[in-house]
Amino acid sequence: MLYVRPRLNPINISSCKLALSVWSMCFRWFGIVLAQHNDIKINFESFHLFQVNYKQNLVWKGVWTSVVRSIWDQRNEVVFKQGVVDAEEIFQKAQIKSWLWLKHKSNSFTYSLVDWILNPTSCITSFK
Amino acid sequence: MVCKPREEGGLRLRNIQNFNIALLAKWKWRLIAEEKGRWKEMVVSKYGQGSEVSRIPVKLQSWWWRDLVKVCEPDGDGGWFQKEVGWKLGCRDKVRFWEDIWNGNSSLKILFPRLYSLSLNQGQKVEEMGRWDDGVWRWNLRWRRARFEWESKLEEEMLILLSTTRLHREEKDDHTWGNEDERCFSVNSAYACLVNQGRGTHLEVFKLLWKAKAFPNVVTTAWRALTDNLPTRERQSRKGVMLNNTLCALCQTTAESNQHLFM
Repeated sequence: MLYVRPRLNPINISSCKLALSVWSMCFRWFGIVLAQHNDIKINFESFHLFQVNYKQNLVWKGVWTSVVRSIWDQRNEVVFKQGVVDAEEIFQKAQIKSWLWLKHKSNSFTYSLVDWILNPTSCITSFK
Repeated sequence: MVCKPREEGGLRLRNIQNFNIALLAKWKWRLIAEEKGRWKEMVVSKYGQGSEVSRIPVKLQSWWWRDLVKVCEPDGDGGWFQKEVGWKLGCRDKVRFWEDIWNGNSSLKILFPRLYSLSLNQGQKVEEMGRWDDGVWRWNLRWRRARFEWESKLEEEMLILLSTTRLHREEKDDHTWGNEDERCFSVNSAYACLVNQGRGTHLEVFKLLWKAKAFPNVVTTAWRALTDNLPTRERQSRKGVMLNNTLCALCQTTAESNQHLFM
C-alpha cells in the first residue's frame, strides 16, 4: 500500500462527475486515498507518491497526463463523433497510454499490460 | 506564451524577432570588441567608428547597417545592449571620460550635464585627463570658465564618485558583456536578456510536467490543460464563438470549463 501526501479537500461543486469518477478509479487502481484538489495545478503537484523515488514519481505524473489526455480525447469523441460517455473507457485508455510509454520507452520495463493493470505499484517501484 | 521557458509554462520556442536582434547584436559586439579584421576596417571606413554620427545619408546606408543602428541605439529599444556592455578598466586608454559608462550605471555626461557643458575635456579618454603622481592618480579637469559656487559643489560630488573606482596602471581597457564572470558575448545570453525584460515567477509544476513519463502529445495536452489553453466550450464562447450551449459534453450539467472538465 502506498501513501500520498494528505491535502485538504475543498468541496468540488463545479467538478464534472465523470472526471471525478475517472480520478477515483485511478486512485483505487493504485490502492490509495487521495483528496482531489480543485485547482488543476495543485492537483498535478499533489499527485505524488511518497514511497517511491523521484524518477518513479515521474511515471506517476505520466499517469496523470494520460488521464487528462484521455478525458480530452473522450470529450472530443463525444462532441465530434457522436461518441458515448463512459468513465470506464476513459480510465482504461489512460491505463493503456501510460503502459505503452513504459513498454516502448523504458528498457527495464518488462511487464505486460495485464500486470500493469493488476499490480501497478510493483511495476512502478521496479522502474529504474 | 509558447516562447516562455518551460519552468514558467511555456514551450521554449525561440521568439524569432528577439533572436534576430540578438544575432544582429553580435555584429555590434564584434564591431566594438574586436581589434582588427578586414570587414571591420571596411565598415569603419564607410560608417565611422563607435557612436560617432554616420556621415553617410541614410539612403546610401545598407539595410544591414540601418538595422544594426536601430537595434542597438542607446535611447530607443536598443538600450538593453548598452546596459549589458561594460568596461574592464585598465589604464583607460580607450574609455572616454564623459561619454562612456565606466563608473556605475550611467555616463557622467548624463549624471552631470551642467559640468559636461562646461568641460573642455569633452570626448577625451580617461587617460588624458590626469596623471600618475607617486603612484596616485590625480585628476586634471579643465573648464571653460570658473565655476559658480553651486557648480563647484557638483564637481566635488563628482570627484567623490570618481574616487570609488580604481585605476590599474598596467592593464589595457577591454569591453565586458553582462555580469562579471561571463565576459564574452554570446547570442544566447543576448537573447536571454532580451527575453528577461519582464519575467514572472517560476513554477515547479511545469518543470515536472515536461519530465513526466508519457508521450509528447499526451504531455502537450496536459500542458494545455494546465495553462487553460484547451478550446473548451466555455473558452470558445469567451472568445466569441457562437455555440448552441456551453454545457459540458460529458455530463451536460455545468458549463464546460477547463476546471470542470478535468477535476
